[in-house]
Order: sequence, then structure tokens, then C-alpha cells
Amino acid sequence: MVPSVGDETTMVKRSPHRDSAPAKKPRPKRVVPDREVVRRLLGSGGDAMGQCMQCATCSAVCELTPDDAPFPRKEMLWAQWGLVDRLVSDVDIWLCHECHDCTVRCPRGARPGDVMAALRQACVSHYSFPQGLARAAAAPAGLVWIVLASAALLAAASIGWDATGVTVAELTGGGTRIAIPFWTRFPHGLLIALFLTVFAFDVAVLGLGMRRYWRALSATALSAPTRATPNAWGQSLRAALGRIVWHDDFASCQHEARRRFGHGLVVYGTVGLMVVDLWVVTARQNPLLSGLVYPLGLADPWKLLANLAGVALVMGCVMMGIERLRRRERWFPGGKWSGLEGVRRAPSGTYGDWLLLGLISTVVLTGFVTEGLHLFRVDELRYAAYAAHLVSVTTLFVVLPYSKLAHLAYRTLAFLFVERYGLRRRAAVRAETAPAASCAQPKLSPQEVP
Amino acid sequence: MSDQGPLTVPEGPRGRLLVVGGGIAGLSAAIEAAEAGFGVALVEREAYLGGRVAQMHQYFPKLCPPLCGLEINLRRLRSEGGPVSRDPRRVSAPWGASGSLAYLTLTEVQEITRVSGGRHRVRLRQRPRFVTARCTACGACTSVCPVERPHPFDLGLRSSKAIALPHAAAFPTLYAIDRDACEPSCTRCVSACPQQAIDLGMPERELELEVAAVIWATGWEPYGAKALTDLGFGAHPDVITNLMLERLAAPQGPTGGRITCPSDGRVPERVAFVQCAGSRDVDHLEYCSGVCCLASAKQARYLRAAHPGVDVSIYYIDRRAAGNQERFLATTAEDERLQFVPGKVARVDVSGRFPVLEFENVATGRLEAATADLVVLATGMVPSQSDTPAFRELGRDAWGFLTGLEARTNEPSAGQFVAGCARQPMDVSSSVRDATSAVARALAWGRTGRNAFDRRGAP
Repeated sequence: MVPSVGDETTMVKRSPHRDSAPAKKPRPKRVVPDREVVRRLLGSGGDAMGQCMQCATCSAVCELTPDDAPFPRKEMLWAQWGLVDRLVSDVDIWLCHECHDCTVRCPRGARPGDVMAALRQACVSHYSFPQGLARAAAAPAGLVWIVLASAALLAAASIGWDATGVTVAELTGGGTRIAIPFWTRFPHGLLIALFLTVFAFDVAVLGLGMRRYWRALSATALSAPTRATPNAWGQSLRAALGRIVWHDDFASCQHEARRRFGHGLVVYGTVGLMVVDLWVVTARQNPLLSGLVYPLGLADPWKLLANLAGVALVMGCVMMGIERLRRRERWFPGGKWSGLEGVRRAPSGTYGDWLLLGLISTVVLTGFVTEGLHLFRVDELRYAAYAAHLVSVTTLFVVLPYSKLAHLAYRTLAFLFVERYGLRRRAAVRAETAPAASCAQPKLSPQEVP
Repeated sequence: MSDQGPLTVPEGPRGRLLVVGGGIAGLSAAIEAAEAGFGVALVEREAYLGGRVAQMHQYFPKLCPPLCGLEINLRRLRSEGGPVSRDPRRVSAPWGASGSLAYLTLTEVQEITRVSGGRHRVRLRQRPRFVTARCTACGACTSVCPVERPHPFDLGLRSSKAIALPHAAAFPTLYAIDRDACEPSCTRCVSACPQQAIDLGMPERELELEVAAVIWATGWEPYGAKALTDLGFGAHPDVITNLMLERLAAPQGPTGGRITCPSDGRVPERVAFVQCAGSRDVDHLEYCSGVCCLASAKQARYLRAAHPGVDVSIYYIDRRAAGNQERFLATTAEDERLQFVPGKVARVDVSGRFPVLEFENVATGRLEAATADLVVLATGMVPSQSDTPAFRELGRDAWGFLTGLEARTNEPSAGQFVAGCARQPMDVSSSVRDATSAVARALAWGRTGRNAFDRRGAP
């Protein structure tokens, strides 16, 4: 899309391939580095990016990069220079799956994999609205306020709901057999209303960001003549979703191949819980439910699915957490597990990484604790645990569009974009061109062979 | 008796000096010190003088053969007298007027102890050559020797017999036996030698010497390309190092100066130079050797001159030319069939018949794969190492290069100076100049007994 910085800036052209015809000299474009962005990148995992010497080893070893305008070499340069315009209209940052193939091979220990992660976070922050909330989600102090606000929101809603007396009506209403004391503190209807609101908020914030991001991407893609005819929407969407469903991109990573499994567990655990949640939300309208007692017994298939999904989520989080901790020298000296020793050893994950893993784990673990306490009817504690669970869920939803979790929207969008405009992974391209390359035989003249 | 006689280095007007290493820096230092009035002992670990320079085909920027410059130095060395003459009658010939010089091959410095007056007592150990100075290099031994081994001087590009001249232009012109390669109890060469010059019972010997100062010019070794697994060295015969290309190009080299692919001997049509092969890399050498860019440019030029049909690509991160050498690179780039491609080669795929280089062309912003007939890895320079106590005690920097100047007058390594690539990577002419400056410092030390850079030291 954007070839190299050298083309539009005052940098010296180094290409030996340009035709020698005296072409019209392009007007040098003024580049305005954003030092604030550089500072933020340095503080969110990109601390070693100053080491980059633009040797392009990272691009050449990446299995996910397209052949044309590969990443992450150019992103490293843009990051060093703080070229925000380029960075936030770059689709490649989302094609990176943080497998650290580049980090392992970087001859300078600049850790491009971590820089790409920092760039993704910067991209999310750039497009999110309102900016105040985005800033709060990016720091531990902000998280405290968000948790407190979530708790207050829940408490206020709960009290307000009680005041309306709807709870009583709900409990005594005829027809359904949903009549469990467990729900009296946090009535079903309230929770549905609350979470639908928060969910709508997420959709709105992410939708706005995606819309702005898509426009920025289009502005760059449409200026490139090679991708003048986009693929059909349906076909692009199918291909994009296929990549997510099968986790294909993770599969081409060399260094952290285990991430495919860990991430898969988290994704499919989440999907499982979403399905159960949708079922719960529509329970009253669901004809299949009549005759069933709610909440469900442990043997119920829906309960089983929820528990399985929860276990998968926890396992996935633990796996991905271990991947990060492996880079910590104190626990894994010499980098013997991560293969990332010496200068490549990073602070094991940024705040954003741990926020995401921590929040998801908290949601699932408090859920399980609540479930257990409920099974054994530990009355006082189970409400407290349930409250903690609900607060963590609310926090997760509030933080979602500003955190690393926003990648579920932005990465999907990036996939859709590259499928629509025909940008392909290198591995796929290589598989097609490999036989042709090996056919190239040099001319051998017999007299030259002694 | 050549360098096997008794080591008699007289005290010159400026005292006595030990030079460790007989490469271009050590040779220059020894000769200049002798000319300046030192009695000089020059010791060399290998069986010949000349070091790495003797392996080179051409120098940059003049593209002239180094044997020529080496020859001039060796003539100067002979004129300084000393036990270098092959004529036994000249062994006791008077030393040169300005000083005197003796050299010892196959010798390492074992131990250096500081004695009074800033002087050093040196213990040397000379490994046996098994061939005496009577050798006339007739080659009768080689024709009967049954053992073939990879020739170290030609970096394994050809094999040679266990008894062989170290290289075609070796000085001293004496054969040497690689006893580790010999068949047990084989004495065929002994009986074949018409001069009775072979003595398989020659012992190792130790020598002692008292000197005023020491100059370490222990030089460099090419970085071990075997460690560059991604670049296919060792996995494909047509992936070679820059030093191997020097041997391939040298008229006395394994191919008689015809640059061909080691795999099947064909003339290459596409040659790729991989710059920074293991240099500026935290996994290999973190530093830039500073000469590989120019060396590759030089090699590209003599390749293009030798094979007008060859296309040369040089893949680089930065084109580095120190000082006035920039012009050499610029002139090199004028050749239409020689291109500089920005982008470090990340991998050389050696699974096919021809090596394929994978890289991002930073100029065009595209990932590319280029097939080459011959891949030359421009490996960097690492300081030569030795496990003798004398060497271990020397100060060195993070990469193992010797640091000589920092020593305070009262430190044990004061009065020991470093020259050439032992100090830092450099080209030949810089090495020669560095040798001269080391001699100047040694002269000052000999006169004042202080390190010239130690301003605190009492006189």
C-alpha cells in the first residue's frame, strides 16, 4: 500500500531499479513526527524499537506478511519517527499475530513483535471514542475507577429496580417457573437490560472506530492502482471469517505455534458462553424452555456447554499467560522456554496484555465460584461472589472497545479488508510460486565445466 | 638454520622488542622497530609469515595483489639480518646496522612476567615443524605422502598432503608436516627426501627472552560461518565465505584463479553477496567489522572483470565505507551488471539445486527471492584467541579485542602494546599504520619506562 518512507519524503532514494529517465521530481512531502506517540509506544512494549536499523530481516522471516509492502520493517520506521498518519491507516498491524518470529530473528533485539502489539493498542486508542474513557482503560488507575463505576452502576440499577417493585412481579408472575431466590438481588430483567445497554455501547464505540479505520484504509488502498477491482463482499466476508474460524494465520507462525491452541480455546470458550448467554436472555420467549426448571442442573446440556466453555476459557488464558511469563528471566532463566533470551527478553507482556487475560480470567473464575457456592447453597457468600462476577463482566464490557480485546473487531475488519482488496498472506503466495521458482535452471555450457 | 637455530636477539640501541604475530601488522611493526633501533624477536603461530594477507587475492582500493606488498616487507625483513637466510654460512652474519630481527614460526608466547625496570621476561614455546632448514621445497616428500587432508590455507577448498608447503608463496619456503594427519609409523617422506631434511623426532622447544616491550599483533579470524545456519553455510557447497572467494580468485589458489562454483566447477552467472553475515547481530557479532562492504565491492569488481557475463548483487543493510573509501563504492556501483540491493538476506534456502536468497528489497518495498549460482557470505572479523597464560592476562573489550593503551604504568600489562586487527577490525593499510604507531609507543616506553598515555604515572 504505502511502499517505503523514502518515496514521499526527502530521504535519499536508494533504489537501483528505478528507471533512469528523468522523471518529474516529486515534491517532497513534509513529515511531521508525533513525539507523543513515540513516547507512548516506547512505554507500551516498544522500548527497544530504537535499536532497529532497518535491515528488514523481520519482514523477510514473517510468514504472515504479504509480499508487497511487507511488515513489520516499515512499521518499525514509522513507529520510530512517530508517523501517526501512516500507522493508523496501516492494515498490516492487524495481520500480525504476535508469534515473535521476527523478534527471535531480529539481529538487534528491537523486538518488532512487541512494537506491533504497541501499534495495535495505539490504533485502538486512536479510533476509540470518548478519548477520556480510552485513556482510563489504558492505565491501572483508570481501571480502579471503571470497576468502581461498574459496581456503582450495578448497585444503583439494582436498588432502582427494587423500588419499581418489578422484582416481585417478576417472581410471582404466572406462566414461567422462574422463581428462584438467587435472582432476587440481581433480577434477570435488570441484568438483561443492563448488559444490553453496555453491549450496545460497545457496538457503538467499536462500530464508530471501525468505520473511521475502514475509511482510512480505503483511502490508502484505493490510491494503489493494483487493487482497483475489489472482491465481492460476500466472498471477502466468508474468507475473513474462515481465517478466524480455523485460526489459519496462527498456524503459519513458527516460534509461538502454541498460541494457536491457546487463542483457540479462548475464542471458542467465549463463543460457547455467548451462545449460552443468548439462550438465557431469550429464555422466557423460548418455547423449548417450558417445563424446565431454571437454573439448570449440572447434567443439563446447556449447563454442560457453559461449564466446558468456561474451562476452555480458563485453560486458554493460562496457556497464553504462561507464554508471556516464559519471557520473564527470573522464572525461566536463560530464556530456556521461550527461546527469547538476552536482549529479546521483554518485560513479560504489557499492562494491556495482562488486563485482558486478567479480566477474562476474573470473569470466568468468579462465575465458577458463584456456581459452586450456589450448588452448596452458601447463601451470604454466593451473592457477594455473584456481585463480583457481575462487576467484572460489566468492567470487561466497558473496557472492551478500548483494550486489546478490541482486536476482535479491528482484526476482523482487517481480514475483511485484505480479502476484499486481494492482499494475501505470504505463505499462500509462496505455495503457489514455489514450483515455478525451482524450474529456473541456469544455462550450463559444457566447455565451462572443467 | 632458518628459524630453528638458537634465538639470539641482541640488545639494539633501543633495547629489545617482542612482536607477537607475523601478519601484516606484526611484520610491519617488527621491521620498523628493527629499523628504529630495537633488537626484535618476531613470533608467529603458523608455519609461515604473512598471516591473513597472504590469503588475499587483491587489496582494495588499488586491486593489486597483496603478495607484492608482502614481498617488499619480507625483503626488508631479510635486510635486517637475523637468522632468516637459508645459507648456513650467514647464520652468524652481523645484524643490520639499525637493529636486528629474528623470527620464529610455529611459536606461541606462553608467559610474560614483568621484571625490574619495566622489562618483561618472555617464555616462548615452538612447536616442531619436523622439517629442517635443509628443505629445498623440491616436493619429493609430497609425492610419496599417502595422506590427503583439507588444506587449511585454502580453507578446505582443496586437499593437500600431510607434508606440504603451507602455501605456494610461503615464507620461510620450508615444508611442514601436519603430524595429526599422519598415518602412524609412516616414514615414507623421510626416506624420499633427498636432503635428509625431515626429522620426525624433532622436539618441541622452549625459549626465554628478556625484552623491553611487547607488541601484540595477533590479528583476526573470519567469523565462523557454520553458526549462520539460516544462511545455508555448510548445507550447500555453493554458499561460501568472502575469504573462501579470495582463495578461489587467487592464482595460487585451489582453482588456479578461476572463480567457479565449488559444487560442480561451473562458472557462476549470478553471484550474490550477503553483507553483514553474522555482523551487527546480537546472536553473532554485535559490531561492524568495517571492511566487509569494501571487500565485497572489491570482490564484485574482480569477479566482473574475470567473468564478463556474471551478474552480481550485493545485499546490504548500509553500505559502509570509511573515510576516503566512499569513492571506491561509488565507482563500483557504476557497473550496470552489479547492483547494490538494500535489504539484509534473512535466509538462504538451500533445499533446491541452487541457493535461493530471501529478503525484503527495502528500495521497492517487496519481499523477493533471488536464485544465485554462488552465494558469498561477507563474514566479519573476530580477534584471534589463544589459551596461553600470557594472552589470557591481556586486557580486552567486550568482543575480545585487545586493549593495550589503557594500562597504567604500574599494571602488569603496561609496556605491552596492541597493533592491527587484534585491537579492532581494520583494513590492511590501517593495520600497517597502526603497527607503526605501536612501535612509536614501544620506543617511548623503552626510553621512559612509562606508558605514554599514563599521565599520572611517576617518571
